[in-house]
Amino acid sequence: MITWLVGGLIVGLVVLYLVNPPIRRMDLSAARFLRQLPEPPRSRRLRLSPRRLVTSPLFWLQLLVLALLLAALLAWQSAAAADIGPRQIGVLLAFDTSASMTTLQNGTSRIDTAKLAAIEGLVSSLDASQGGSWCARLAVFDLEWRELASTSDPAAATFAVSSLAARPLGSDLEIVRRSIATLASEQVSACPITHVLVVTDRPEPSWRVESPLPIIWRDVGIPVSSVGITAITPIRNQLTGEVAEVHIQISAFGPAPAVSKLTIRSPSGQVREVPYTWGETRIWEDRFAPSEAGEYTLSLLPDGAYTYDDSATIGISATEPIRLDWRLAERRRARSARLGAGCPAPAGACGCPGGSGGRRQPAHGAAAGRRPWLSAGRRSAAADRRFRRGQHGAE
Amino acid sequence: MRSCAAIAWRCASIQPNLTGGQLMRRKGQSLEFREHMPYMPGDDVRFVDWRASARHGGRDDLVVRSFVAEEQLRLLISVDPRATMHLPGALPKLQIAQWLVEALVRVAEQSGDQIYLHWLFDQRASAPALVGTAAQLWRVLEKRSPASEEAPANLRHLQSFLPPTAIWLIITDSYFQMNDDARALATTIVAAQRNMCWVLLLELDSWPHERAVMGQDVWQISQLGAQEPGDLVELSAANLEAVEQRIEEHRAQFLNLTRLPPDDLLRWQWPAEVLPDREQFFNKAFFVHDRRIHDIFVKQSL
Repeated sequence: MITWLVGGLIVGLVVLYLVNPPIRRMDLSAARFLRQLPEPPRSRRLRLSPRRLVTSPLFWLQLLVLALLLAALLAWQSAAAADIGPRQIGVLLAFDTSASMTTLQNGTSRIDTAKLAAIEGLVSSLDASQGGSWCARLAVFDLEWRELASTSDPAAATFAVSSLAARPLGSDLEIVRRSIATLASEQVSACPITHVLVVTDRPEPSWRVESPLPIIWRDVGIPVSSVGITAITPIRNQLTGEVAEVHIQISAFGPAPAVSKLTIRSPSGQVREVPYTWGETRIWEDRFAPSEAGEYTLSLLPDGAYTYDDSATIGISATEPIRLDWRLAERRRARSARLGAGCPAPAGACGCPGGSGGRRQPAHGAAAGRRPWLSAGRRSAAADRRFRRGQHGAE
Repeated sequence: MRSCAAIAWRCASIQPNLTGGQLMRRKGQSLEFREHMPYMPGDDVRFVDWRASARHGGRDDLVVRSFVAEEQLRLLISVDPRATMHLPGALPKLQIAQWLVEALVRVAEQSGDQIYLHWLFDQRASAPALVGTAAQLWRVLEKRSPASEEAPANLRHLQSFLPPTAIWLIITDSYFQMNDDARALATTIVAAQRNMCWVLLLELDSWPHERAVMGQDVWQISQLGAQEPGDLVELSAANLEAVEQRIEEHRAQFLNLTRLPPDDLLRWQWPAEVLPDREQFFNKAFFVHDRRIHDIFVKQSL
């Protein structure tokens, strides 16, 4: 159709330049002899001027453009005609099963939309085979690449796609790139891959154009509003290492509900509910001090579109008390205190009470646990002074 | 310049008794004897040669002596300055006319002859101007005002500038209207011939060139200087033939009125092609090769 249109344009161009050329003006000395000639001018009739075709550079330029366009169309049509016929199609379906595929968008789970897109892609590839051989290999990816099935049965491929489910993991497109490169270098395969269909909610990466295999990228993700826990940060006691506080950051993306409620359930079953009214600030920060070791459960209501950030479980382990180990044998060496687990042996056996000549300190007790390094340093300085006096006296 | 000098030398070296326009020797007053003539009533009796009359004549047959009188050539050049003479654009007819006048002036500079330049159609009815040198010619040309198609024929002062033996060269394209002015011009030409003047009519015909440029197409024909768009004309073969016929009829009609002998009708035709070098073309095609123009300066006896 387009070819005929361009051909018609060429004919129209020729006719346009051929018919009714503009009337030129000329100053003629014998003008008075040209009045009332036998043949009247044919200005109102059809006039043809082949000379204008030959002498007009603009006409040749326009004709060249149209001719090139026509040649390109004819070449494209001949190439398309050569492509018609049975072909061998091997499609690799790379399906994203990361946690973000569970996101609700337009009332539907994102993974369901992705399944429909994957099935549509498989059907299109089947149509493209024009009755030739067709096979499909099904692979899923999140933080790892897993090849699930290879089949030449479209129904089996469709069934395999419909049974896919998301996993609570992120997604890594780099493993997709590496896997496609590996597949492209395969020498022998029961289903040689000619096309790759990637169905994900991630945007198209820049390496797609450099891929060794043609990639059809179907991004099924659309922006949705959600409220979710975006960060949990433990604040530890710098001396004891125990978790003193837990900071929670909750972010809102897109329109947020009027009020959100964070529920914190302690290991002993105590429940603390924190309501928050959203304003212009899109980040809500809260904190709580764990009263005991164990698993704390955080849950956020109402649920957002992305379900995996609506709840979290924090495990806080029990911390040991601080103990002081006085096992220092050499008096002349700089003494140091070692913090750690409690003395494994009785005080007298392991030397925890200190060295000879020193003031005895209780191994366990409030004084030792309070400022152990200060008392050790003070005693060490006094011992050094006595040691220096004794040495001078001997000399 | 070189062609003008060559023509002047060649004309001066031509032997007498050739046909030409320059009357260098005629009967008149001088010390140089010319011939014996039979006495006619009115002849001066002082020139009666009594011895020759007694020897050769009868009783009443007297013979008088005649002498040679030398005169300078007077050449009056009338140039048609109408708008049609400014065409065609490749080589205007007026340009050819000016080059021809300049060439004749340069030849006359060497022979000492008198040349007067006259505008054939002029609103102001200006008198012919003496152009003895090329510088004088340029001054006259600078003062020239363009003549419109309706300008009347400038014939008032011609009688006094056309004494017997004078040469009148008329340069025109003959495209003027056949009205009273044209008829008066033809009458003046006839009168000048009767007055023993040699009248040369040089017709500049650019139609072959203009026809070749136009080809066969539809044109809007206008005359030079016309503001309004011209007539729409289709130059078909039949129309071109009709135009040529009209031009020839017009030309023949005017020439019949002038009663000029065919030898005194000169026609310079533009070629039906693009003109490469205009001055070269003027020299080779027109000026140098037209012997009739050279005859103006040939010394001849009557």
